[in-house]
Amino acid sequence: MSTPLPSQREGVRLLQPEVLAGLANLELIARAAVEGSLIGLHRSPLFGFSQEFAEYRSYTEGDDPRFIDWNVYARSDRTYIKRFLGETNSHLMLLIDSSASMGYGTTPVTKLRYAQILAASLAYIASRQHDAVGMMVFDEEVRSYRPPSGRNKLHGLLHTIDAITSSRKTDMEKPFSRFREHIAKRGMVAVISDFYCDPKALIEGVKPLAFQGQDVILFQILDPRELRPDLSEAAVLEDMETGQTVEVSPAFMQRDYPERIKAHIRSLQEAAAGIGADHVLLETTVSLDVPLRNYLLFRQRRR
Amino acid sequence: MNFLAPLFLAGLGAVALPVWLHLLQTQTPERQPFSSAMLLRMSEQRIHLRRRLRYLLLMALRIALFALLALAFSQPLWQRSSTPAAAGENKEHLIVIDTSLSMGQGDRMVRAVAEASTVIAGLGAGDTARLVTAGESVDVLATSAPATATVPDSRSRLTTALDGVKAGAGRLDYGVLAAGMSELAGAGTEPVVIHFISDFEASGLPSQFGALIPRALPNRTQELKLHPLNEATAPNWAVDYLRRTPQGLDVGVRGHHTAASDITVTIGLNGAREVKQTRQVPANGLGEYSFALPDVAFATGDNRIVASLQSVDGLAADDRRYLVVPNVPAIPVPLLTTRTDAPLVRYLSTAFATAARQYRVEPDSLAAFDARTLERSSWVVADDLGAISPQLATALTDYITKGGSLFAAVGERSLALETLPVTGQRVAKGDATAREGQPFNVGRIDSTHPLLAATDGWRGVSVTRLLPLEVAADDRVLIAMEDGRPLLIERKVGEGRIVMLATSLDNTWNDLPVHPVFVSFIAETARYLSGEQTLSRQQVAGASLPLSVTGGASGQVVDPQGQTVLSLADTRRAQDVRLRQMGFYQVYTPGKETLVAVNADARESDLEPMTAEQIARWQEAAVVAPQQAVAAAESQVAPPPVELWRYLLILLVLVVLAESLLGNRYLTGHLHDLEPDAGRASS
Repeated sequence: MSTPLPSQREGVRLLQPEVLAGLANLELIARAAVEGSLIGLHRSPLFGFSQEFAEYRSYTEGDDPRFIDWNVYARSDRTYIKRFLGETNSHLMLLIDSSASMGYGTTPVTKLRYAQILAASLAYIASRQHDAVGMMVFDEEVRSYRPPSGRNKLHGLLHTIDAITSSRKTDMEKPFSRFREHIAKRGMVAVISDFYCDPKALIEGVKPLAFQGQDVILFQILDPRELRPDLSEAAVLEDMETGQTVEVSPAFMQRDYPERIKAHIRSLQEAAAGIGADHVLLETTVSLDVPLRNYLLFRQRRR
Repeated sequence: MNFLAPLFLAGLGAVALPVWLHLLQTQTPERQPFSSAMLLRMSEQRIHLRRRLRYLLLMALRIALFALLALAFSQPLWQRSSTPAAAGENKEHLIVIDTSLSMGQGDRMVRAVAEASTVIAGLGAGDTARLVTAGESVDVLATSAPATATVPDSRSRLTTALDGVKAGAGRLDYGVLAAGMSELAGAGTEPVVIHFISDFEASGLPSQFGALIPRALPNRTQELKLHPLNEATAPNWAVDYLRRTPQGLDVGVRGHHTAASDITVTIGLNGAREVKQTRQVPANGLGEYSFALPDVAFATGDNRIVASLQSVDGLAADDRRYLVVPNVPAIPVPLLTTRTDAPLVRYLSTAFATAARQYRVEPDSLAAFDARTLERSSWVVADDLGAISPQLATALTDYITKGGSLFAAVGERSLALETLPVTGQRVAKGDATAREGQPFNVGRIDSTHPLLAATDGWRGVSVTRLLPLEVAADDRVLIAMEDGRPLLIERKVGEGRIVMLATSLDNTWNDLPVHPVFVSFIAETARYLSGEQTLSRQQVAGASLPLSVTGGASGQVVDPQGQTVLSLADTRRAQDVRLRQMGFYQVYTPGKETLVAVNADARESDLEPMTAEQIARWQEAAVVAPQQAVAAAESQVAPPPVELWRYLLILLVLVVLAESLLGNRYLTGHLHDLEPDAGRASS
């Protein structure tokens, strides 16, 4: 096992959610997350920027004259268009769950804040790859919607992400239905949520997207205490969305509940796999390079 | 429910302990926000509810444990009450006719009988009735029962008995009557209606109005119906008192609601000699008459004195008053002394003349006293025991052993002795003389002794010299000084007894003779040591004459009409005799004949009736009585109360067992909850 270089370690430390959360500007956060993530990836042959050269193609009418390689024209007196790897004309749609349950957090970073950072990072990295990025914030309704747009709209997008607050319940069906109405072009869809919903119902909502040709990746964000509750005595737990209270014993929370959440995650994974979607489980303490790496892998596979 | 030790009920406060501990342990857990309850098992809530119920049951058991413990220690008693029978239509009627002295005025009794007849006529077919007279005593004259197939209607018994009802000589206190009615009603279940027919004399009212309400019965309701004769206040003269004076006789005549009148009083002496005197008796006042009768006018023995006045009113029964004047020579009591002219002789003579006239002091010089004469006296007095010679001491000891009594004191001659003659009491060492200005004071008095029961004032007696006597085991210290040394001791010797005064009998060592208590003390000593039992020669009509005082149950009593009161059987077993008539009763007991004068209670002579308001108030309260009777039934002594502490202890043991089992299960479950691994292993 190779020891990470100091620069790598520094990068990973910078990608810790609590470190990123300490930064005030979400754009800065996203940049730090992406740059830090890519520092450790520059030697990988699997990853690259969309600015990397791919091939030359003869200029045809209708092509943008800005992309003509004038050096080649000077040498060969022919007009060629220089093409890059990232030029796939894809777009990324970020679907961010802003329900009340996303406000839960036992660490300095709540699930929503983690989702915001993740979304901002994904938007930033997509814009670096010249992908159009759009977003939809939803709970039981669509709270806000920004159609996919180019790099010049990144600032506004990040501002919108930064302004998300958690409230109300979750209902996947209606937002996904609305989303399908707006999106016709094939692209990538990243759903960021804790997915406290019926996996079957979720998949029913996502399945049309997959059939539509969208590549769907589900980022499930959970707090560590949701996966490993630490309850020393009986407590009354209040559902942040519904207000429902359930008195639970430590034995249940330490013995039975982890099994239940694992089963829930498992069923989500199986359901996602069934429709060709990716499922990425993220704890709010997990470094941002993991989801970003997953995203890049996902994008790589897609291309 | 009653408690024998209600103070232990304070222990009920201990139930606060388990409640407090419960509150500490079961404080509602703080609500914690959680992202979603979707995956939380709802059955967990039911488990907690079940566990909470189990803990509530545990707490209830613990509360019950403390409560039962406190209740058991307070020893509750459960008064069982028999279920009162449902009131039926049939009732029992008590027809009570007032036969007190005042009912003899005018035609009151005739109208009372007529009223009773009306009540009897109005009785229901299924009703029972009893005819009762209430005067000097409460007597049932006749009882009637409803007619049956075999027994004809016995109501005629009541009307027949009515013919014999007459006014008596006694006094009726309505409070005593109300109390007696409950006793008379006795057992039974049907409601009781008490008809009271009376002139409702105001003097018959008890001091407290509540005493007029019949005591509640456990199983039956009572209703009191008053039948006033609507009497107006009638004027009445009565002989108020008749008493012996050194000069003769004094008579008082009192007028009740009368105008000033000249009233003539006649004194009859032994049925022969009559003396008359006329004076004006003021309106509503008292006229006093004095008859000079020298001692020689009285015959030897008991004299019958009758004072009577002219019958000028409607009530003749209180116009005569009777008095017994005994005229017997005083019994000599030997006073063994060294000085027959000592002041003590005068003190004792005065005391006897004042309070015990049947005795007189006979001073005898110790030097010249013939011990053989002791047998003539039932008791003797010795003023200084230390002065008695050994021969006389021996004679006195024999005399006492055979049943004689000695009242002895000490004096100068006793001071030098170590042992007193006759009594043999040792003289203890110690100061006999009090320091100047600090006399010995009386500390403890045995007021239960007959010698001291009627005497009062010993606390004021100052003793300057006190012979310190040692008390033997059989001695009874009647009076002790503040320092515990005995002042008056009683000792039984053989058949007789000695009363010993540890100081002088005159005023040389103390100031006893100048205190009023000296007279009563000497009188009681005389009665006690002589064995005389007093029988009051003056009695009130309706009182009971205790035959035991006159020498035992065996004997006979002859009433003023010359009729024997006691049956042959009663002559040997009757303990007392009710004095129903006014006049002279002759009481014959073995070897003794006593004459007793019986007079009416002077309060019966005031014929003023109760006001209409008072009667109405009594009637209203008596109507309420049935409800009170049912309410108070539980407090009445009916069946014996049940002691509940045994059952409580059994219950306590069961509760402890249940608490242990439940507590153990609860604790096990609690640990199970806290130890998931253990829970998994078990599952």
